[in-house]
Amino acid sequence: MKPILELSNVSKRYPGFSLDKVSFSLEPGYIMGFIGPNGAGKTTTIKLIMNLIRRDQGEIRVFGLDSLQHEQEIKQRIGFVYDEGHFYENLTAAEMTRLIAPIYRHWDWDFYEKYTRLFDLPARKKLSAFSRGMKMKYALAVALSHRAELLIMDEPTSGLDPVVRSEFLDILRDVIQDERCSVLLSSHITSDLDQIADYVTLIDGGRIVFSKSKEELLEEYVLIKGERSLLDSGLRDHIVGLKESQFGFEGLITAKEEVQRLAEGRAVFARPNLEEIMLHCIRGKAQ
Amino acid sequence: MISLLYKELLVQKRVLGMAFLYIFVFSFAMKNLGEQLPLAIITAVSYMFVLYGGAWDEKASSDRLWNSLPVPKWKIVGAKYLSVLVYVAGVAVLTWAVFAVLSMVGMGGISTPVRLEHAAGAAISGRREQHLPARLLRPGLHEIEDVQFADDARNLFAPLAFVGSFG
Repeated sequence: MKPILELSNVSKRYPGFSLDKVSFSLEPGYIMGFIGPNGAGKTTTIKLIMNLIRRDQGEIRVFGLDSLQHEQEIKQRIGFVYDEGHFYENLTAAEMTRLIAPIYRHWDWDFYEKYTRLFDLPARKKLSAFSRGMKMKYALAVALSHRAELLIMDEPTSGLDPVVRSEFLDILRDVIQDERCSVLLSSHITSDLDQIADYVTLIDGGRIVFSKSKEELLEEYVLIKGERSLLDSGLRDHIVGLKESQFGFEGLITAKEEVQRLAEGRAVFARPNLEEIMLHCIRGKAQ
Repeated sequence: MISLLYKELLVQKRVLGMAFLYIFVFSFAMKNLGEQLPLAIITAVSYMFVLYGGAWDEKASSDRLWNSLPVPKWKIVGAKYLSVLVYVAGVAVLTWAVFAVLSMVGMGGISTPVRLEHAAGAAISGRREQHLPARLLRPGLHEIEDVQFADDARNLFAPLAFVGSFG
């Protein structure tokens, strides 16, 4: 199947920061988590996809179309949710929607009504009186009401409290199952993605560290704990990221069989979560 | 395009009351301008609308919104310029109404009628003052042509309007 979103060798240089040959792709119908520390290039990548900034080189194809040549066509089929509200705060939700609705060819008022009811959004309240969670839900309702095939979300959950965040994610998961659209969701809160992501792309310092399915990742990476003396037996070569303390070490490894042989039963293996994978991968690079 | 123009007007609805107030105050404060009074009022109040429009756009970082929506750049820019004409037309009508009421109740003693030249003069200076948020213009190719077009139009019409406003 043709990827719904495909970046190849996309670069963007700023003074002091550059996005270096970013490539990844997303198959239709899946949720991709886009993770990385603050300032890693997540938002820059998303801005490039949305044509908010111009790329220096590389190619971005959305729905198989070039993102510069078919900009309008592509944007008709994309829904977006950004980390901060970009709506006019002095308008009510209903007024804001009336501005946006006519722009989309496939805008569906029934959908919009359905989602505002589902999300409990007051139509007559000014957006400035909306809480952060409500603003995010409003942005999601708008993004979903024109039958978008691809949702692009830039840290929608940052700044939300845990209760609202998990509610937001539940809604997102339900909606995506119903509507069958694909999602690119950037976040630095990796537990969000533990729940809902099918694919995970890690970016750090403007470079893609990996872009894999979550199953692949959890199969490939194993967490190992043991005494420090164990490290000297050639184990170090297999370690992606390492945290040493007085009592022992914790590390992330890839080749499990090989390491198991080396450790000779003196280490404990555990299944890592995305946060541990992200931390070790980034720390490992720093070393 | 209509949606964009509608947005320009919708965010302004709270300024409308203030516009009335300004026109009223200016009619007295700048009375000694005589013939040019309507021109001054229309320019000043339209200018206020233009600034408010820009301020709301800046505050909401609406460049991210509009550039993410499927709206071609030239329409975003075009609506901004077009909105100036709408403000001027609106303010001209308001000024005319305020003058009419003032003379009806015998206040102010303004004898100058609001003429089309006044509005035209204000429109040109308003276009000159339309500060487009630079961020709205950043990416894409359309905007370069568009700004140039606006410049050409301005250069062509400005002298005409200057003469017209004294006619």
